Amino acid sequence: MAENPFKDVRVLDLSMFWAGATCGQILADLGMEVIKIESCSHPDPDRIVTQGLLYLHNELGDKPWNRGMLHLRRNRNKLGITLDLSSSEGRRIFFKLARISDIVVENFRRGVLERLGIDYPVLKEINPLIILVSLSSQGETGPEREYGSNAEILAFLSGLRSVSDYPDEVGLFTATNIPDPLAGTVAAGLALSALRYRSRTGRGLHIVLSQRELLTACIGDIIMDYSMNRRIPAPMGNTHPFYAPHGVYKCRGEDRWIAIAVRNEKEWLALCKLMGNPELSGNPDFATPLKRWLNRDKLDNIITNWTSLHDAKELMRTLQKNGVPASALFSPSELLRDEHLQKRGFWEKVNDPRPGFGTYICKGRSFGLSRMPMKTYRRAPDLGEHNYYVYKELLGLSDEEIRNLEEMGVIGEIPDPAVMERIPKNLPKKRSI
Amino acid sequence: MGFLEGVTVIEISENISASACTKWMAALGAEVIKIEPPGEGDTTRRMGPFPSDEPHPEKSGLFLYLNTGKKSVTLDLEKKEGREILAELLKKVHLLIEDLEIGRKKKFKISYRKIEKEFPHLVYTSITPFGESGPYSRYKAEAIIMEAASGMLLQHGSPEREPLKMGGHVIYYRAAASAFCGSIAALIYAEATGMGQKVEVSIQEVLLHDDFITIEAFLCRGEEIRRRFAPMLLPCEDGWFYIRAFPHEWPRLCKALGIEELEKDERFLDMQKRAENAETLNQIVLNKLGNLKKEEIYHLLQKNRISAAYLASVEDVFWSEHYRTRGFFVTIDHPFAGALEYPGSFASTDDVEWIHSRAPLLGEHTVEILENRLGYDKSSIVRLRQLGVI
Repeated sequence: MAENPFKDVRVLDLSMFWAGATCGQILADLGMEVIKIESCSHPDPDRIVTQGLLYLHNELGDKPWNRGMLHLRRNRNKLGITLDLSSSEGRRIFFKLARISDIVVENFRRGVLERLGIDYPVLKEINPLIILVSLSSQGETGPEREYGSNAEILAFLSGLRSVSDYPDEVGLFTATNIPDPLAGTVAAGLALSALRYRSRTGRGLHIVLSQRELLTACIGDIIMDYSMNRRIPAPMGNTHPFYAPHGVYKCRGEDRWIAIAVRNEKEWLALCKLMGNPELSGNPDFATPLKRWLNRDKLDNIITNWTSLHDAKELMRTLQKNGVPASALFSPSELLRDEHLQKRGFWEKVNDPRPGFGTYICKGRSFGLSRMPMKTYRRAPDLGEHNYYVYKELLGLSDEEIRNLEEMGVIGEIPDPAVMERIPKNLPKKRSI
Repeated sequence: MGFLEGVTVIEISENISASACTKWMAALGAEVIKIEPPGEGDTTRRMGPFPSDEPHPEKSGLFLYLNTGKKSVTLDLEKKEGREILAELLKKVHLLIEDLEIGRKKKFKISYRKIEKEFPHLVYTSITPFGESGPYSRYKAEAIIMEAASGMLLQHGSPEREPLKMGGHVIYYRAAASAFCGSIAALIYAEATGMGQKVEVSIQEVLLHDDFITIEAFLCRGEEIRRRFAPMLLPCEDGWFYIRAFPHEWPRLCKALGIEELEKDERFLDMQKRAENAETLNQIVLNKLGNLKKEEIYHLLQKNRISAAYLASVEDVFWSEHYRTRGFFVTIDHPFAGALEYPGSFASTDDVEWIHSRAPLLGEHTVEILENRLGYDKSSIVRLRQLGVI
């Protein structure tokens, strides 16, 4: 096996939550030494996520902040230290770390790095080769630069949500899935490109990703319609601009559905044959792709009458076997036992030797590399777990200096009382599956 | 120099995602050679939007946007001569990226086993709906199918209604992001070691990777989370606004709305309570904000550090003062489509500039690449043209 070109790259990961963590995790997956920096007053909120009270095995243990399930998933392969950046001592130590590091990742609100006195001009002084990767909400400039966001807000502001809706009403739903990991993945790609640039030019630099602009870029073709024709596209729901039938159809059982998309005559005839419905094949209303599209509501009703009698997954297999694009709408439990994902090894089993942790399942990666297979070689860190390694071995501080830092509260392994208050005292019972 | 200067990429794209990935690479300075079938060209040339809705192979908004900064070479990969030229090219480039359906790939005789043997230096990135192994690898798919199979579709939409697809082609761009990151990692590895490798992207897995918490909720709590209600998405004078009042923002929200007396009110004490009493709370918020404009509400709340948004239409986005101040849109001229504003770079990279130049005309660079890169003479190019290879 050839040498991994990333193994001597060191990353300081100041990010919290999802987008920045994804960036740091990809870099760690590739073999870089990624040091996640938190503090006792501001541990990553994913450690104590109250959202759905997600603690490993639904148990709080004696240190619940190390059991937050989102933290366990999003910070695999990273080292973890604590450092209070708001103290002058903390800042001084951060500078020492920056001097021996290659990349810094952060996703603070704009203005925070300046207030902490660790913004790019300062870091550049200390280490001209440093690459600072900022996952900002809306960029470094412009009137809305300091506005805060999360995935939903970005979807609203980018225009994505306006084209992802029901045709007949504004749906009162929340959607959070794509924006964060999208931004984290692109940021990791940019960080890698910057490393390549640095090795060729000998120059570090500051990358500022605007998460809102990235999402707008992902509906760029729709923006082009406005640019060309001043047209504001109406949301199309599950309708395709020219394919029909195309949509989700009710199946047997509670909240069970199948998605079907017919793109050509061959797929249409295969669907008709399977449905065996004389209303369809001979019907002039559905004789051409255009007629099917124009009469799609009527067509959807006929298809729903058929699908609602069937099991979604069985129907998926039958349709696909006959060359019709279709998929059941998978639920979490179905995904976890899905044969395809298991055969591909998507799910990762993490063996965690800490008492009470045991084995747990994490989602896999969004891409695979044949020569650098990515897997978890180090489970997500306890709060401050690698303080000694980093401060003593990397920075050469003495035991006494480290003890002083602990006493001053600059570093530590236990969250501050104000954080502890937000941790639940007990958890609702796990539902039987 | 650009981030990816010195990198040459061959792109064969029929499903948007490979094209979106190399669009970003071209912007960062890579030379991207797009292979198109002679005659009709890339499928997206036939997909809209078109100016005044008049289809024209050089005027598709989707094509123009996806292919900024690239070169176009026509090559019939169904013909042996076409595949031979591709093989000659692959000897000289660093990355091959494609998003073909399995049947098409077979037809073009593209496989990693072959690539690994014949072009060991080459990074090969493949984007497919379900990956290249496993029982679903031959399944047919469209965006809505992959969203269903990843679990995302069952989470997306109103609780009392049918699940809802994401708009536009967003999931293909999302897959492009993973291909982008993986390809660059592999390119750096190849530059360091001389060895190429395969980068594999399964769109089902990308979307499942992006799941927020439903897998964890099931594993930890045995809960099957489905479509969820947004408690504070509310109408105002000219549209809709949205407040995501995080717990620490609640006191600020009360202050900004002048309802400090409700901060400690039993009915709204925590997120859970506020969700339970959403109707009462929303009425109070609407009384305070309902007759303002959506952008006024957005600025008012954000200036008070409350996470809030407005439902921005494509028009709002296009004219956004913030975007305009930052110069997000760039004007690119094109011999057929004319000068148009395109979304530009979504990241600033100090003085390393992003390249925004127009999409190529069909086959615009065929002769250039064949002559200069592969050393073909005029008469053999004429012959290839007569055979319909280029």
